[in-house]
Amino acid sequence: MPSPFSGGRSPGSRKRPALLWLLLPYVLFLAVLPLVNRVTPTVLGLPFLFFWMLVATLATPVAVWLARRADLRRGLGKEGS
Amino acid sequence: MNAAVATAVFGGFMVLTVALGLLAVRGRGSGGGLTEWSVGGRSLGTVFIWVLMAGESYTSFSYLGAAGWGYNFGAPVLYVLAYMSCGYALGYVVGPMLWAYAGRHGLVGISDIVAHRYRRPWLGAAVALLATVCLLPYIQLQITGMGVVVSTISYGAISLNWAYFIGFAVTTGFVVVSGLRGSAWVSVLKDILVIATLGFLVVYVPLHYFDGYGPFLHRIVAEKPQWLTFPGHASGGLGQVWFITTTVVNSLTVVIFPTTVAGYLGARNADALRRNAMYLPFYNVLLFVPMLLGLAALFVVPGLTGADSNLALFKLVVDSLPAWAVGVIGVAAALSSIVPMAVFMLVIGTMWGRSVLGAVPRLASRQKLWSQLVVVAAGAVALLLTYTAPNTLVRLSLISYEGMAQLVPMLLLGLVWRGLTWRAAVSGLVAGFALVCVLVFGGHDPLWGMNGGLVALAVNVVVALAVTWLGPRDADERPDAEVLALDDEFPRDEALAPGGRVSPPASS
Repeated sequence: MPSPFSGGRSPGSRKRPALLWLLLPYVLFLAVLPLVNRVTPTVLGLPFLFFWMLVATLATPVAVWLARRADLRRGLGKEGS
Repeated sequence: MNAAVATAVFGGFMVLTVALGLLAVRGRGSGGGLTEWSVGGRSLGTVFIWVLMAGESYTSFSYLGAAGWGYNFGAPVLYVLAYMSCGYALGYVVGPMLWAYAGRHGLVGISDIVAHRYRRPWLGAAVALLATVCLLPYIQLQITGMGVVVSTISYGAISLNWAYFIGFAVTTGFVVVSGLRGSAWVSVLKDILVIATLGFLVVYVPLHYFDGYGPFLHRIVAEKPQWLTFPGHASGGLGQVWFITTTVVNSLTVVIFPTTVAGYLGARNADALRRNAMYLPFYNVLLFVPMLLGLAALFVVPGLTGADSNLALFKLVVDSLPAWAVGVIGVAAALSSIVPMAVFMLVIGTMWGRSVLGAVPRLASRQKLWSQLVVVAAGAVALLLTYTAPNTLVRLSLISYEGMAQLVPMLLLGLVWRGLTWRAAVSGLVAGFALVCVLVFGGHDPLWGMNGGLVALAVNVVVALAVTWLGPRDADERPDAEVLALDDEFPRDEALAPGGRVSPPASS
């Protein structure tokens, strides 16, 4: 009788380490929060926390793009739009 | 005079909205059935998916609540930005996974995904009921949000009660007929107006009131530093730990939120969703605008309290702009209520038509009709409760998001792990949901600085694992490929077969 914990991944599933890029927003928004939770220095006039949140917001699509680029390089997902 | 101009602009756009929503299905006849109506026949491309998902996530809260939180608390409002960004990134994986699973098995929403996974139709019905309880408050929030916006921008010419009704009538007017496709078309109008008006306001307001950005930001930093870091100003415990835990649990929840899933399932192929996960986060930049304007309002209209602080942004707009511009900005905000409301009603209708009424053999042949009727009923219930007992749904809304979060193990864990039994998933859900109710209604949320929904989710998972380990195994002889969403990893054959169903992947 198989263990209930042995199900799940099919044997043929491919590893996609580039998906770890998708955790980048969590790092930028959350993990470094204690370091960026400050008013100064201001950047372009923005208080630092708000500047950092803008950086993290703009970095999110880049992180997804990096994950996707790795997938595309594997020759996968080439179907049209 | 002002009232007449702004009201005319608003009225014109409302007519345009219904017309646009109905035009979306012109020439498509009444064929296509529930799949055509609920998930646009799984035929929307990257652009429409982007417009629709941006449209449904940028709600009246973005105009009212985000500005209000910025005004009252400051930094804690950033959680909206954080969880949406993280959730959109997760959508890169989850979106194609749910899309492929639903397409392969002909599913139209989370309730029948659950029913299929656990092969328990009653479980699908139960999930539909639970989700309805969590979603109804959101419909009311959109109705009341629309009400205050419309009565404000019409300079009081349209009363709150009429504005509520207009919101219901316009939304029902197109979504009953044209479903998800109509919502996507209206989203185009909405997104254009939202981007244009917020883009304008973010430049205009600092220039008008503060002689530019430099002086505006300088003044905030000098006079309101308390608003600019966690835990914000008088936020009652919304500190860093709260921000982190809320972002984590909300980002997991947003990817299985029924309206998000409706967007996923509407996609023409998985790649549209992957592209969308890349482009959608850009929309979040717009969320900075109401946050900043909420802070600006601190100087222009100080002393707003309670529900009035939600009008922080609109006080600036009415105070500083001519009537026609007030009308246009009001339309953008009204559409930010209408589009999400349409999709909320749509998914409630779909879940009932498919998993509750559709599960009754005698009714199963008319699923689309039942769905459309439930759309009207759900909207009407929310509208009536808005008039008669507004506080009921407001109290319920407190558990909406955290309650919905409790479906994450049943859905996401269940789809990748065969071992999770239906008893375990249900036990976890019940434990998690009960704990959410206890924490929220008992006044213990946040708990030890943490979001109560995440605490409950942890308990949920532990209970589910324990029951899986100790309880009886499911007797389900179907192969893994039938039960699980295993080919989330770029299914090779993603072309839609002529029948509208996805052909089975080559690997299975």
